Amino acid sequence: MIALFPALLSCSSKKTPELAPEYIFNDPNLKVISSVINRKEGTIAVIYGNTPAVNTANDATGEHVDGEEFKMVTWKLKPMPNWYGTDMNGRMLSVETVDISKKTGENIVFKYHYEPAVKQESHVKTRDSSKRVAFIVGLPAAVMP
Amino acid sequence: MRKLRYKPNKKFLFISASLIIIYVILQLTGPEVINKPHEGEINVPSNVSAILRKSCYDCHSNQSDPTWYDKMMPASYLVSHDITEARSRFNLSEWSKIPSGQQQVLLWEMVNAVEQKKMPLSRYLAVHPNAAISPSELAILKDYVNTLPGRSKVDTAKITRSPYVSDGKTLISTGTPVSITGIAYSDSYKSWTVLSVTDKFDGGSMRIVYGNEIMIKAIKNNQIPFPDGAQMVKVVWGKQREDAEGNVLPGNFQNVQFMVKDSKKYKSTEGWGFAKFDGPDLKPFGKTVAFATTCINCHKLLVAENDFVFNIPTK
Ligand code: HEC
Ligand code: HEC
Repeated sequence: MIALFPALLSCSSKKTPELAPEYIFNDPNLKVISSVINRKEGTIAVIYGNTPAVNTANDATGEHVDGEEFKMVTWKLKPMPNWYGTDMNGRMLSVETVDISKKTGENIVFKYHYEPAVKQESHVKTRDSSKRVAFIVGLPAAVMP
Repeated sequence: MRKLRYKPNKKFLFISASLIIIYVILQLTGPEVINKPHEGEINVPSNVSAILRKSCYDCHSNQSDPTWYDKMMPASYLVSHDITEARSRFNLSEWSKIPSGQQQVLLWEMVNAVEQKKMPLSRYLAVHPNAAISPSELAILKDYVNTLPGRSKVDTAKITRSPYVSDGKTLISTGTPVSITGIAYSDSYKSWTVLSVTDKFDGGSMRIVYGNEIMIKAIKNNQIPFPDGAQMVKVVWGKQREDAEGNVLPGNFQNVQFMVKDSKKYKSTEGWGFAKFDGPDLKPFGKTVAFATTCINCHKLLVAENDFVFNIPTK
């Protein structure tokens, strides 16, 4: 009985959180364009862009220009540990990149690249890359004052 | 052979007798819990109401029912202090005085307080074990909050662009908005790092939380409590209707919230300064600095062990 006490005490003591800084995406050249929740896939994502990409996304009539770079970072959606009522990003699943080049007199080119966060692991079975490109570069910027 | 004899110490007897007399007198002077008549009581389904009555009403309502030992000194002082404090936070007997949006936030907070075993207070449960909430009762509370209108709120309004934004540049023509807590709005967070991105389904909003360099560095170095200079900015949008593929995009901009660590300046709110700027014109929230107390109260109840921060990346 007495032997049980230390065990009980250690169970009730406060847990300090185990931080996971590896879930943080950081690219100092990019800023947020928008975000996407997808409960069907159980994911949450942020679309980032470089300055030309952000400018185009902020302009409803804007046409794509040479040098735009978009990155869509997708994480697994998980319940927030200390608040029932919010789901948040967990581990990173993938980074999709679209680079736009548009040389004068030539057609616009969208270069798409899909990078799973863990090699040999794709969180989607099939990716129709032209559909993905259209989705990523077509998102209007979320309103941020 | 000497007979052992119990010899009472006169001094000891005198002290004990005095203490008993003082104790009895104190019982007559202890604070009386006054139950005001209740108007505007909370109106929830009977299975939910039964749980609140059993476990929360003794403190968070005008229908406190102290048992005989609660009325004993010094317990009566603690009990009356808890009741006064609890009623000041929210009073289930005067529920209709609270605006409906805030009522919903409180109900979700109540569920979380129970889930995390912060409520009912453990010192109360120790003497009122029957007030404990079972897992099936918690499930009833959870089912109930999931029926509240904020749960499925969709932002269908046309998206208004902020007057502050034009071609991706911020135009502050009417001067920088400043919160009464002394925090000025600045959009420098846009070049910070995204700490987390969330689906706040309890209120129909989605958010991005940014951390400044000091904040991100502290997380990388496992440095909790966070150092002075750490800052977070949370941008809040409504949620548009889900498309055929399941995608939900940000709707209208709702508000932006700041937390700024300065352990001296913001000592009264656990070292964090709070600010909130509402709507596209970024109207500073809060008529008095006391608004920050309501912010920290919720963060303190639920994430005191994370230095009062919810949005930290954890395994
Ligand atoms: C013994 C008295 C007591 C009981 C019983 C009690 N509370 Fe509390 N409650 C308090 C006090 C005191 C506070 C102020 C915070 C603190 O002291 O921890 C509080 C604070 C709260 C808060 C935080 C409100 C804010 O300001 O953000 C919530 C939520 C809450 N209680 C929910 C509940 C629920 C739900 C129940 C029933 C399941 C309950 N409480 C039962 C005493 C009580
Ligand atoms: C009812 C509880 C509650 C109250 C009251 C509250 N918050 Fe929070 N706050 C939360 C929760 C839950 C989160 C995490 C979920 C999210 O990101 O929306 C959060 C997150 C935040 C964050 C992001 C950093 C973090 O801790 O995760 C900021 C900044 C913030 N709140 C500011 C404020 C301000 C300013 C106020 C007062 C005007 C306030 N909060 C009042 C519950 C509360």
